[in-house]
Amino acid sequence: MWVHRWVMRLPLVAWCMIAAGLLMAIVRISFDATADGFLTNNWSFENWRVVATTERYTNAVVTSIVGSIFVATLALGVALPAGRWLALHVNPIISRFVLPLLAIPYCGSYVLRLFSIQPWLSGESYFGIVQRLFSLHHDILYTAQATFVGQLSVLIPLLCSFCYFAYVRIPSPVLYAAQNLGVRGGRLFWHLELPLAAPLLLSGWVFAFAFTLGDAVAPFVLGGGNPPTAAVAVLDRTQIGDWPSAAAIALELIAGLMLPLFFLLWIWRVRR
Amino acid sequence: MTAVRLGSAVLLFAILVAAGAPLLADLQHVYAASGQNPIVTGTLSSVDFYAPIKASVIVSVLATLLALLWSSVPAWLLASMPAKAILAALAFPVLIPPIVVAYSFAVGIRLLGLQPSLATLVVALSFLTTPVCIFVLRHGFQTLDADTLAAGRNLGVGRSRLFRFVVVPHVAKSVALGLFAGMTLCWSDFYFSWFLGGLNQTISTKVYSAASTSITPQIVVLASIGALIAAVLVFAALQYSTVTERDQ
Repeated sequence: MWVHRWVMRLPLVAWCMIAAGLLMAIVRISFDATADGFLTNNWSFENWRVVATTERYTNAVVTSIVGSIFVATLALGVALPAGRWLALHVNPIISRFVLPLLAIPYCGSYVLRLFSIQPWLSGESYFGIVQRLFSLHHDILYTAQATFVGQLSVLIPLLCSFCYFAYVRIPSPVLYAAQNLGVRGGRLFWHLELPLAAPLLLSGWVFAFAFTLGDAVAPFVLGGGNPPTAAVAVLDRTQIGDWPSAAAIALELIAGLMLPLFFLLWIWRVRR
Repeated sequence: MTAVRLGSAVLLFAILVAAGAPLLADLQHVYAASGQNPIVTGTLSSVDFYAPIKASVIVSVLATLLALLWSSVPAWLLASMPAKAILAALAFPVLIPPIVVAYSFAVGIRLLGLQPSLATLVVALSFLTTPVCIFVLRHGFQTLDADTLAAGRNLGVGRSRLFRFVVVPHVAKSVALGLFAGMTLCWSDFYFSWFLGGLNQTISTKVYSAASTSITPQIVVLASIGALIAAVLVFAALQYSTVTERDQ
């Protein structure tokens, strides 16, 4: 019987082994060096030293983490009221048609979407009219703001659906009971809705954070590589064949992801 | 209170407009271009135009089927046990930035001495899709009524017939949801195709490489087709999802 049980578990074990193997492969290759386009097994810390001491790379990692926290928080802040309204006040039949629309920016062609936004931010199109209207002569294309606009254009609709699902899971009788007891507005939101919706909202935030942290397309197409981000650095290094340095930066990205994750878990435990 | 509701409604409307505006702008470009050159007859009949669509379809379908096949047994196992830690571990690669996961696969196949191809891309994307399929199938298996199975066994129905006539019809909805959700995930992928696709370009990598130089009407048409199919997949997945049903 136990043999049968272990055979059944094999796919799960295989999946975990692949995941661990991939991580080990990055760690292994980060200690290599490249010579004439080939990897040499020399187990040196040179890549780590270069990545940790070169200002360009340290700035890229810090910029990525700070920018990702900013974008994820802003996207969730904007998406929350819209998602809440969609879940609580819109007919479910209509919401079923609205939800796919919200997912299109993420699931559709993200790459072309960014190229479509490019002329808008260069002052040639509608955004230029708004800029002239408010006497803003600052061209935001190829700046960090343009990158944020591109990422937010995808994340806000997507997080709207996260917020929708978070609110749909709250049982209606609980909300009605609270309203009958006279709890409304801010108190209802803070003491009832937010704690009940928090798991999915936090998942949405983490998803948005991970998406922004690993996004290399928007910083390249809209940001013009200015300021440099860690994901762009990974793409750049692999394109010139420097896989070991790219591995070291990728591992720093994973470490950068872990910091807010552990912080969020700590907050969650303290709150509980 | 009414002002808050009105503000939220306006905000949602603005988000929907902002989400759809670039797509409409693309279609406007296509319409404008179609008046100047025979885009429908010229573009749509070229082999170069269909190759990325074909590659995307093959990759997304095969990767999702492989993931469904691979995840069915773990999902069945996990359905009957409290598996919070295992599920959290499964979700972990989904939370890691895709560029890092795709890069790690590229490193892995490089270390194994393999060349990037459609096969490596299918295997890598099935790995990415597996957690989604496990979550969806596990939910399907969990809702399976144990009494129905017990009744079937008491009536002398064999394992294979029980599986065919009770289990499969019950989880068919979850399988369909897993299929559409997985295909959507694979369809919109960029980094895996970039690192692992080799010379075979999917829609996203084709659009990226071509649009880096200039955005032609052909590329806009290609991307619009990609976005349209993605929308259809999302819509189909939501039809099989029970998440949108409000708790009563």
